[in-house]
Amino acid sequence: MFSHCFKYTFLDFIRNKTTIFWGVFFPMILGTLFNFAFMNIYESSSCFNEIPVAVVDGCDDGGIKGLIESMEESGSAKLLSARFVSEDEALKLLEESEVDGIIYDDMLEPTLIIRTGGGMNASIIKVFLDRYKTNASVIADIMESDPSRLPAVIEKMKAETVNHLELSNISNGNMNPFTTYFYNLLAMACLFVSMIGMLISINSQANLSSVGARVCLAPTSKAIQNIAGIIAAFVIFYTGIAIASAYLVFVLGIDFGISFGEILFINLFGVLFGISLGFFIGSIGRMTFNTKTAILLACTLGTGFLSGLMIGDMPAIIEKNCPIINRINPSRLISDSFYAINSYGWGERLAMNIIKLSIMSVVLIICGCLITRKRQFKSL
Amino acid sequence: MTPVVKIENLVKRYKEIIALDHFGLEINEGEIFGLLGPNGSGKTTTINCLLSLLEYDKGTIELFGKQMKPNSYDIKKNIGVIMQNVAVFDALTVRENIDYFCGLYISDKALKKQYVDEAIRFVGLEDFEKFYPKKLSGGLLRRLNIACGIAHKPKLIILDEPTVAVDPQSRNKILEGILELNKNGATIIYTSHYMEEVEQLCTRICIMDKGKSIATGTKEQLKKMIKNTETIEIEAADISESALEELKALPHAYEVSYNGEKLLIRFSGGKHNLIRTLEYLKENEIVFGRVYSELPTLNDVFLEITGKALRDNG
Repeated sequence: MFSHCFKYTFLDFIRNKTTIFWGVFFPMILGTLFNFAFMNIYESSSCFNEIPVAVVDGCDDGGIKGLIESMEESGSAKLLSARFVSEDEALKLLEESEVDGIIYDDMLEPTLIIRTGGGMNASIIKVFLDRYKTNASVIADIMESDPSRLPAVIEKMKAETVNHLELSNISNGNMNPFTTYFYNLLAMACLFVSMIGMLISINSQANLSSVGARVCLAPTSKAIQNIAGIIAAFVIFYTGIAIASAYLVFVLGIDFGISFGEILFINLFGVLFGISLGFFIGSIGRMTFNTKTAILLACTLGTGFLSGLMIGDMPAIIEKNCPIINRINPSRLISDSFYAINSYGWGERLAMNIIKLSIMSVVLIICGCLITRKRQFKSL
Repeated sequence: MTPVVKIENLVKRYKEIIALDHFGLEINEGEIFGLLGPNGSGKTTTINCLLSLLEYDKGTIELFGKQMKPNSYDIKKNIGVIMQNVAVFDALTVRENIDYFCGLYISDKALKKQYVDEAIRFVGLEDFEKFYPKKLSGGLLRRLNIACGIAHKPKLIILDEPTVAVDPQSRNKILEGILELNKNGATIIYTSHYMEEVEQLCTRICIMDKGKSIATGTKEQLKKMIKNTETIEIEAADISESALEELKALPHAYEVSYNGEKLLIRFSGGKHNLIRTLEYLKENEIVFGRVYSELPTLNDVFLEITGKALRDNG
């Protein structure tokens, strides 16, 4: 009986073009749009590029030039892309926006001209120069007071400079902040599967559908029919979300910071929760199909919003004001599982998310089965 | 002999509304039993209570001699239901739909296949086996609905208004099919507000109104319950009041009415009522057109008992 119910529920779902679209193709389309939108933003605003700067030799023993050259030799991250030119040439470069600032390399008092509208790059050049001036002043003081301490002080300054210039990545993960939008996208795709979960329960209740009435009249256990439906839906839509994930990773080249296998692992719990949620909502009350669909859409998009699908900083805002929401929001639990592996590897945070999703899924399925077990109704 | 269906003292309320008011009936094996009544009379509620889909407030329901409960699987496997609404999966083909519902009753694969083939042939959908329901006409869809309900060869078949919105060809096919199912041994419960269908099909009829059984019996028994035995309708352009009085004085005539175009005379018993009426018109040189003589219908039975027509739309 189980295989019979599984076979036909599987066929019914896999031929349902609407749900296949929302479960598989919609995340692919949205992922493509996200990719177009965020790829350029990240590259222009988040990826650090060397700051073009013109250095005008004020005197032969200018320290700026020496510092830049020593930074390049040390092999550390290059902060400035310096061009050593004459003043006229430097002004011309600044006018043509070829550089973001001009540094007059004077040992005694280096000065700076920055481009109007230079933004963050101009600020960085200024900070760089201020730091240089402070250090130069310290060195000058030490030379006057106690020259023997100079090597130790210089070593310390070098170490601090390197720490400032090099970003350390403790997990080898993807540090692109926009990746979280793709985590949330997959979370939303998993929750969209709830529509199918709802169909399973509606198709087994006489007060909600004609097919449900026929099913209620059959001498077959409803639990078997429902579980067969849930498993069939899981097989189809887990595969669908896997295809969508593969498209995001291998076709669009989005770096989730975790392996494809790890993405599939988290999808497993996301899809299970999505089906469970839909199954439960479909089971409760006598609301119409459209009302239940609206509730599920509100759940999917609402939890997605709270987990940062629309506004990336939303989880941080919630964490500050009402952290419990982040702990129980299924969309957040799914997206945070991706994030947890990316940032901290397989650890407690991931385990907690997975356990919570699993418990919620099981509870929703059990409640749904208990409600739909009923075969007799007050009205039809 | 134990009746296949026995309902006693059934009461069903929807809040303040009494849908079934101490309703009772018995249906014997091999009968085609008609539940006839206007919309809202309680036919579908009766069926849903009978099937244990609906909770009821009072009364007992027995099927095949056993009390019917929601988990009476042994009873349910002997019941086939054709709902008022088409209940099939849109994404499954004709054969798949029938196979799915038949499979909920029959686990033996070979037997199931045989039953499905027979059901498809029975409703004449051989050429549409691979069609999806959306590609079927209304009539074919109804036939699929029937096939899904009877494929497992139930002993009791309940048809709830199966011919609503069906073309005449499919309607005839459905009615012929019901007779054949009965011939093959199934007991049938047929609900409808189409009195012609009920008269044509049913061996016994229960007329329902406001949740009550107002009369039960064969169509002949029901018609004998009322005063009217013949209604004569005559197209006539001009009939005086005095003529109407004289017509009312004809033997066995008990009601005469005239609306300016049609003269209607109802008789209670007697023979040669039509000849006597025509002779009167001829003798008094009253010009008339077409003449109809009708025996009482179930609508007349309903009209006389309840004071209203069975169907608003005639």
